[in-house]
Amino acid sequence: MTNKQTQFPIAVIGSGPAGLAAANTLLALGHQPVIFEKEKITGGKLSRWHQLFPGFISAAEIQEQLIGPLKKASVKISTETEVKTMKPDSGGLEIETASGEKIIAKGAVWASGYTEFDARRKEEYGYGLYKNVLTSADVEEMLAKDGKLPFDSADVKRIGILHCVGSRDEKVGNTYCSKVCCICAVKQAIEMKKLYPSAEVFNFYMDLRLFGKGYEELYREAQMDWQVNFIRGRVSELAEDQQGKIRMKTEDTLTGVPMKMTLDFVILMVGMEGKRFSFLSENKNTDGSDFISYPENFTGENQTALPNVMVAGACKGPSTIVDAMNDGKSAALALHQYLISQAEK
Amino acid sequence: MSTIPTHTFPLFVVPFLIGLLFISVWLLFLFLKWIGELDRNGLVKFGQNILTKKTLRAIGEVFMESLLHRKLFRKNPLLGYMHMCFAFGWFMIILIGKLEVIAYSGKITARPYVAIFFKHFVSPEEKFVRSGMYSFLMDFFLLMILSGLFLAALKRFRSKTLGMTHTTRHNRIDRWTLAFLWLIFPARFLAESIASGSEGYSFLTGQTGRLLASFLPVQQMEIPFWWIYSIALFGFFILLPFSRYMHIPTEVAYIFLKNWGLDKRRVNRGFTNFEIYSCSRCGVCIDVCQLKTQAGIGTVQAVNFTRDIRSGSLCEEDLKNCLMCGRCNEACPVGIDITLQKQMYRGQFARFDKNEFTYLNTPTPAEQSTVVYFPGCMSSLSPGIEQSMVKIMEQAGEDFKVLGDEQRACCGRPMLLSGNTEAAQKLIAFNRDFILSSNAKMLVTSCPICYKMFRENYQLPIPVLHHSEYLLQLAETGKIEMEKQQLRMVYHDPCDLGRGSKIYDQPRQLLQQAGTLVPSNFERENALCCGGSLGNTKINQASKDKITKHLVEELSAPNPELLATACPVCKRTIARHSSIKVMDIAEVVAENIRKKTIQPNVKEEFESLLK
Amino acid sequence: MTHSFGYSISQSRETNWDKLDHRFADKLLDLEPSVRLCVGCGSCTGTCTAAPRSGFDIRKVHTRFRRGEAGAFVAELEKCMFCGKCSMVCPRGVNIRNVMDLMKKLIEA
Ligand SMILES: Cc1cc2nc3c(=O)[nH]c(=O)nc-3n(C[C@H](O)[C@H](O)[C@H](O)COP(=O)(O)OP(=O)(O)OC[C@H]3O[C@@H](n4cnc5c(N)ncnc54)[C@H](O)[C@@H]3O)c2cc1C
Ligand code: SF4
Ligand code: SF4
Ligand code: SF4
Ligand code: SF4
Ligand code: SF4
Repeated sequence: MTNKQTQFPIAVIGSGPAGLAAANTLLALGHQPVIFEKEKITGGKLSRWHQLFPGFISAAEIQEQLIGPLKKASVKISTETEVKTMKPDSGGLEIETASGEKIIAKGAVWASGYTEFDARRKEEYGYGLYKNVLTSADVEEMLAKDGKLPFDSADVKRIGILHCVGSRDEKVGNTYCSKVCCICAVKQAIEMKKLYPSAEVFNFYMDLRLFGKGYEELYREAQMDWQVNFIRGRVSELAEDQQGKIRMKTEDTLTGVPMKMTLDFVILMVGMEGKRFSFLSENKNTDGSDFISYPENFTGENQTALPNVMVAGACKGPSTIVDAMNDGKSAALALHQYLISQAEK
Repeated sequence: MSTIPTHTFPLFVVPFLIGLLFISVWLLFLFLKWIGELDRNGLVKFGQNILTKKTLRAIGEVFMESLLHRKLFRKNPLLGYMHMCFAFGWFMIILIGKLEVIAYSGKITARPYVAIFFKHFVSPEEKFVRSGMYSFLMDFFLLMILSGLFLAALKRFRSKTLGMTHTTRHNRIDRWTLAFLWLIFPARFLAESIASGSEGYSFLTGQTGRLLASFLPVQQMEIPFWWIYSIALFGFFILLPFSRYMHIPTEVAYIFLKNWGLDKRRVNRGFTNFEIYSCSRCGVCIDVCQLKTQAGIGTVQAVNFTRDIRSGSLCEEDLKNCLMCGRCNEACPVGIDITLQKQMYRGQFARFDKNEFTYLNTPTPAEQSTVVYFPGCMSSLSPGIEQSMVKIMEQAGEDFKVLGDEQRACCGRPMLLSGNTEAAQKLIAFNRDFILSSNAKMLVTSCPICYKMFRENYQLPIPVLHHSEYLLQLAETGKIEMEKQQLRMVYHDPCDLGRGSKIYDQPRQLLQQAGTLVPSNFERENALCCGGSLGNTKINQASKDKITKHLVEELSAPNPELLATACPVCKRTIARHSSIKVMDIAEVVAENIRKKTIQPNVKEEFESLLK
Repeated sequence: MTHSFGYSISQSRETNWDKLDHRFADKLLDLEPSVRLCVGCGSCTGTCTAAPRSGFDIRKVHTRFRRGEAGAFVAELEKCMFCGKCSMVCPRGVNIRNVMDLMKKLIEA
């Protein structure tokens, strides 16, 4: 255990879009941000995703745009450094990492992001059991890595995309909507049509929540230009037949009859789950989720229990990348204002 | 004091005699009525067995249970003692009293009241054969009853002393009956003490008598106290049939019927009455019920159920709000099969239509195989179980077929539990034909609910095995082998498999081969219900969650790495709240099965090639 | 050409809210409030053991019951096997088996 007491101006926890945007803003405001990232690589989910909705811009490109200025200003990014806890200190804030290292900073922006719902918990979909069931995150990673999926296009006739896996589901304990998976499903449906032009693609949904700019347009595009089928029915179970094909059961609620279908492979649109950090907030969320709760009062939305720590991004609840970035900027600004007001005192 | 001839007829015996006459006639009438309501099968059993040694066994059981309260003793010694004092003490007083009269008069034909009021007739100076011993014994058992009375009073006021968190509330008739009951023995005690005056009978009444005589005009008080005693008996006898204490005579009759082999599994009105009225309202079933302890639902326990039936106020909402977990069956000292009773009573509220399941015609014949595997409805929501079973059976080289969920129907147990026996019968008939069409030699199921149903209601000509039994067989015959891991596991007994079908050891033996089992606080008969029970149609999600969370806490307490169970419903329900991994026993086996790299016959071929 | 939508009985052409008798529906919502949470996702029907063979559509039945069309479904209700899968999958925690039970009871009354 090292105990070197390094003086760091401002810590940013998490190098996802929210953290990177915050670091950029802090830099622009004249602070010296230092980023802590628990993984080996930086970028958060950006480093894993392929092309982003709604405009199919490459995630790597966005990451580059965010990291570029930081690199130029030689902002330090400590990878494989997980922040465990933080507490007030005479110097501002004492940050302790998982390896026991203690660092003093003036303040921090907390942007630890979310984790994807573990689809194995939704047993009836057979993720981890059936080889032809993937999650949306698997698809992003595979596409980002080799630009294709491990299925021969001659074999693929029908693809199913299941919305709301691990979200809006009392039975897995998550009652909230994960917000991005509907539009992500529309995007992936189009990607599937691009990869497997002769295959039919079916999206099974409860409600389509396409709220953002350009999302509804993408939905129309999927229907018109890519012939994606949208079926209103939440899938109740998947079974695997001897050839490894997936038998799907749902209700086609718009005609009001039970429906079954054989699919070559299935994508589960996994939702987001949060993690509670008691030193940031003791309060529980009204929806029972584990995301970090914050004052939902329009003006204090980045505040935590520690006055010089601001929270941003998907660790507060499901968000898109744009939202996460804007929230990161907002958190940086809020911290800046706080530090200025303290200096004036 | 002088002796009064036993053929005299003191007026104070009248209330006692009326009471005795009333209760005898009433009980005779009621029991005959109930026996009349037995179905043919019950009547036949009744006639066949009444003169066999089963009757002797029944007498033995009456002695052990109704008088000594052995089972209650085991559950709660203090409570058992209390009941024993009353029952056994009173019985001995009647018996010894009778013998005393015989010894005294030399005849067996003395009038019935003489034994009861013996000390009115016979003064302490009068000695007869072993008179000292008789008075001693009479005093001894009187003291025993009084000590029980003391405990009972204590229980009324401070039930925690007796290790019970919940006791039952009395209605008005119960309270009056209880008042009379409590009055009987103190009154007798005082009347006898006073009758003994300064001469004294034995250590208790004698000493007290001497003490009282030293400062009270006992002579004038004797008759009034006999009156009190007699009226107390009168009151008790008259009210008993309408109070909770009806269980005393009923339980005796119930034990006889039970021993004569009357079948509970049938909807059998007469027998049901005996069982319901045998409930002593001891309240033991309250503390074991998780609906009460975890969810705070206090109107549905066995004791409320029997009370509601007796008072004719059974309510559908309460009757259907029961997990049918059987924890109360296991705890009940009288041995009442509450869940079966509830199932039968639910029938009153079941709605059966003859059009039910007209779409279930003749099943399409199943594929032929030696073993048929019936995963069950719930298993299709937990496909890992079926997949593991298929993997294991393939490895073991079994000739098997899976009965697809689109060809079969629900086993019918949820329907049966809801009380709709007729509808369940249709499902049984359909599935039975379907199963038998495979010409299989053995039926294996993964679902304890189906398992219990197949065993008890299907009358199948082939053996039915739960997959834990089947997998153990495969392991024991060497068809599969497991790699023992460094894995700490806690096993959860599913209700219908454990208490419901008495399968406790097989799953444990099987798990022992894959890792180390660590015990939890609730094992075997005492296992908790997961809360996901299909027996309860009324409970809301929040109450279920409370029950499950408590179970998960208990199972996680020994810090295992894995929670193993043997039921798809338990698995799903527990997994919802558990941070520790939950697996079905089939999945545990499939994960740890040792791969046979070379099949025996392949190996032989290989060796012969080498030669 | 005949179309079967899983119903042998004829359906009314429109839902005339003014003319329908809502007493049964109100009673149902009163006795099992969880049914208010239904979002019509169809999971219950999709998983239903009775559905593949009989076309039984539990979601539709309880939805129309709630709309006040109680009487039309007596024959449908008899198809349910009471297996409990629907309650097990419902993402909104609706106690569907009790809804089933209550519908039968209310219709009979
Ligand atoms: C399948 C899928 C596809 C998506 N596609 C799109 C899309 O096309 N367009 C779009 O706008 N949005 C998309 N999203 C949403 C997007 O992923 C999120 O909005 C975004 O990742 C949120 O950014 P963030 O920085 O808040 O969190 P994250 O990206 O999760 O980053 C958090 C970072 O913090 C690190 N961290 C966590 N805890 C600690 C700690 N204690 N110490 C140090 N570091 C820590 C993590 O390792 C991670 O690198 C998608 C989501 C999913 C599930
Ligand atoms: S965004 Fe769409 S898929 Fe995702 S949880 Fe919400 S409704 Fe379901
Ligand atoms: S049902 Fe059994 S345990 Fe419950 S009160 Fe009656 S006798 Fe006691
Ligand atoms: S069966 Fe279980 S839930 Fe029902 S009354 Fe008995 S202990 Fe309670
Ligand atoms: S599963 Fe639940 S929410 Fe979905 S349609 Fe059925 S009752 Fe409604
Ligand atoms: S309980 Fe009835 S409605 Fe529900 S899944 Fe089973 S058969 Fe279908």
